[in-house]
Amino acid sequence: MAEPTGPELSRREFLGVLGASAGLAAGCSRPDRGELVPFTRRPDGARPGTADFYASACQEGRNVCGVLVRTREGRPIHVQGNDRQPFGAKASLRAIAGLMDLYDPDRLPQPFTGGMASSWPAAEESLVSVLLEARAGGKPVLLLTGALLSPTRRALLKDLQKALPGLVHAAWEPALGGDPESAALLACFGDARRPRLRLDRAKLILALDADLLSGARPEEIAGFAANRGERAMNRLYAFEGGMSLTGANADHRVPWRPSRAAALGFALARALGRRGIPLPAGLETALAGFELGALAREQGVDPALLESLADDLRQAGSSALVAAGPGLPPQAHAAVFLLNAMLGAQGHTVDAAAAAPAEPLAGREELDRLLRDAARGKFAAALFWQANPAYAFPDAALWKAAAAGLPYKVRIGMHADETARDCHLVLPEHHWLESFNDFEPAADFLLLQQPAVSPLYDTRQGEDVLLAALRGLGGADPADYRHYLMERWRREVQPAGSLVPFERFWSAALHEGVLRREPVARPPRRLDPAAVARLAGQAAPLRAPGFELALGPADGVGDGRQANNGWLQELPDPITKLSWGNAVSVSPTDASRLGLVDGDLARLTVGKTAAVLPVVVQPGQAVGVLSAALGYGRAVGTVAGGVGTDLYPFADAAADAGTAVKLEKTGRREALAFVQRHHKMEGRDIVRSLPWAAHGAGSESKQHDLSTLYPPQEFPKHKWAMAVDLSRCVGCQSCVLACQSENNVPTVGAARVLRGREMHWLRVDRYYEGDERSPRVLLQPMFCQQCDHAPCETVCPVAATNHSDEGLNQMAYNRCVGTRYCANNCPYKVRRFNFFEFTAATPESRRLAFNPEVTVRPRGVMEKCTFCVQRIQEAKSAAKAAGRELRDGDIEPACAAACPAGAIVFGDRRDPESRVSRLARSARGYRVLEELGVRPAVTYLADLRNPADGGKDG
Amino acid sequence: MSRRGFLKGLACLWGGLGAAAAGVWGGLRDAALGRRPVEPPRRLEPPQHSVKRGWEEDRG
Repeated sequence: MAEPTGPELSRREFLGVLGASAGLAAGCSRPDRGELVPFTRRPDGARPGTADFYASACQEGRNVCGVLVRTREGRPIHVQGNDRQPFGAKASLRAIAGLMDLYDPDRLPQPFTGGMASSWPAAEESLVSVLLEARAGGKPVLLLTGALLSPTRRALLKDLQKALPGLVHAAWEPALGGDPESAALLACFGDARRPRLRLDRAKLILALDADLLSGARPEEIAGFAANRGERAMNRLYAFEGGMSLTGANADHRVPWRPSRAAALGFALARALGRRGIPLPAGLETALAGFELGALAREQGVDPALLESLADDLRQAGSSALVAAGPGLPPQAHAAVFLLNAMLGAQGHTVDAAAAAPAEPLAGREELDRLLRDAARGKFAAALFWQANPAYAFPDAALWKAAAAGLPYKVRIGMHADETARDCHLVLPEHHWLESFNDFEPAADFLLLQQPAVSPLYDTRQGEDVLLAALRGLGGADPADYRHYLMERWRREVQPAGSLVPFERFWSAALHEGVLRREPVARPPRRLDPAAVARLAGQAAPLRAPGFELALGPADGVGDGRQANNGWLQELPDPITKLSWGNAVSVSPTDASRLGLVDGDLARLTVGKTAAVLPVVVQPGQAVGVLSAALGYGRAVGTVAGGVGTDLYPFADAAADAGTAVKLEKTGRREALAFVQRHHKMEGRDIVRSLPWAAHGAGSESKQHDLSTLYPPQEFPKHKWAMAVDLSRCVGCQSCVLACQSENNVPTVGAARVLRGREMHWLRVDRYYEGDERSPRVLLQPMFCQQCDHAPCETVCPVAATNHSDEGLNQMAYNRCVGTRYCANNCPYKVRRFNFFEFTAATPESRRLAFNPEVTVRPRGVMEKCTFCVQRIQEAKSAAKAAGRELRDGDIEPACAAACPAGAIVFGDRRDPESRVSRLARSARGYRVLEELGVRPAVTYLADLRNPADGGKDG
Repeated sequence: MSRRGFLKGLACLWGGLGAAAAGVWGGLRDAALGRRPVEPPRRLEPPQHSVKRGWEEDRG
């Protein structure tokens, strides 16, 4: 048939025009995806393809740690510890994760006035005019901040107070409540400086609800791990309500009500008195009511254990260290001060000489008074900086009244958070990786913070906002906070009479990130027995039967400031293994009584406050104690919004011993994003644990028949291997985050964690052994074991995974077709599959955190730990460029570099003298599931425990 | 207007409307899912007044 002709538009032409016009219209609206700019006008000193490092420092509440920031082409891509800082050279968990906050797409890009985008000159003019008006009218201005910690920041506030006499400053850390520890220090010593805990000097450690080994405290982990080996072994007792990492690592862990911690401390002091260490004068009568035997009966604990603890303390003397958790009341802290003083630990394991200046925090009474004043209209304005009271202040009604009574509110912060929504002026702040500052974590050294990147957005450092206010008020006139900081260092920090020009001194200090100095000599402080006696008289009596609630910052997101960080949200709780949210932990006995199982929704009522949240049945939880993490339940944030439950409203009632706590089953359930759902080893020795007294007897080495039909493998140059010392590892998960940062591992969200699709290349497995009321906890970092007879390699139909001649089990991503046979055949379950195109879903700003040395994996591809092969290649190139052979210790994978305990050692097994070879020959060394004959390259060194009875009962 | 011209115009109009509708739909879906356009960082530059540590020095 002939084609139709004539002027009519054919069907084919019509569709063609339709498609073309649609394409044109769509093409015209194509979003701008940026353009490639050659690096021809590169900044001075920048070498494309080469990493630069900047020493800096990260503050987190009342903790600060020195860091080394790795940058590539101007982008910070990794945070690790500053090796020059004294006392533990590693970064805290949240400092490593701080990188994600820098690139958070929710960050405020510019100032906002009344909800409308504004400019800095207009915003500053508005702020200054309000402050001038307040000064002229004689009305006070409220400044609410977090802990200051920086001497220069303190100086700036003093200058501001001079220029604005009505400025009322209060520092507040929500997770510390009323800061009972400082209150107790002040009462008992007349000095609120917090001493440095020297776990490295301690042979016996007693932790009363103190989580000394959480990832926020790398220094204390390092000190603890230094004495966990064949040569030196400490002993850790932990008395706690909920299960913490410290309890999990304890040689003796006792479930104990937090409200009875003070009573235990005072009873131990009396027991020491009976063992020949005299009680300070006047305390014998005050402590008469505290008896170890009665307490043991009351808490259902073997009295012999408490007596043995008293013997141990007596024997350890000044090498003992007693610590109380920051959430315990002042009475418990007073008991701990008394014990440390009686044992002679003051000045040895409890080092007050190097204590940092006191950091006065506002107590609840002071905050209540300020907010009531605000509600009455006393203040002309309020500035909120590093403090988010709309989220974290427990009394929401009081905050609302205060917010309504404040005529002008300013938020200085990185996000449009809960408080910013109530504020007239919102001023975006630099991230700490864009800021200058100094910190004084101890009397004998200072840490310097410097930017590792120019500001990404139109933001300013919080201190620069205050300086602008100071200038507007006619105060000092430095160009910016950096100059202000340098001037103060020139005047007060550089040693007087130094012949070194200040610029050189300053550059050297920035280069190192640390400045050591002689601490000011102070007379040793004396414990006031009368104050201890007074506090002992106030020690909480035994509560009526019922629950008590223990709240504390989450191991991942902390107090909630970093809740919008996907890495921290997906990092599971080290004990419950719950990610993306919080739950209330209940003891198995209480759960059984209330008919609760994991995931049940329960109504928690404390006084007049109630919330419904999921339940986790936690082995080892003390009967009658409920514990839960703060930091969740944020109302805003693309990542944080709506995740978990906000428990700050319970903080007041939880601290009040008299408030009734109720937990009721609702009958509803919620799926919980656990990353581990099986908690027993089922008789297999996956994690070996030995009593220290029996180590070295050789009985721990089990021989397996490793005969094979495969030909022997040759490793002509190197044979990479790893050793993990389980006795040093405390399970803090710094390695997990460092691996995620180094290797571009995506976060997948709660929905996919629920389906078992999390992507972490490295996980820390947690197993329970024994009675669930008081189990032993075993922790084990688990990652690709780089097996020489790898079962994954033999089943790959396309040979995408194969073995290198250096012993690495390597992946060719381009070749992988995603059959997942390898994951099924892996006995360690360490292979991860990209079910989705996670990279495409990553916002543009977050992609800047990617490490350019590591391939970003597409959908449908299997991935796993590579032993940080990019670092191996980097070290090889560096050695070649230097014309030398690789040396032991040249290569440090991200996990080993981040481990505060020094538990992970990497090296070449072909070198018999390398550290990893020596550890692999250790009597404690074993391979997990060695009986399968897969010949893993990772040697685990059995965990050592040091119970008082020598581990007779196993 | 010829029939052919009319049909061509109609095709262009439909095409344009279709593309615009797709754009509006995409915007509505993003809004419903809580996505918002992300401002890219304004620049990526090394810090101006910081002192870096050399790579070799750090390795050494």
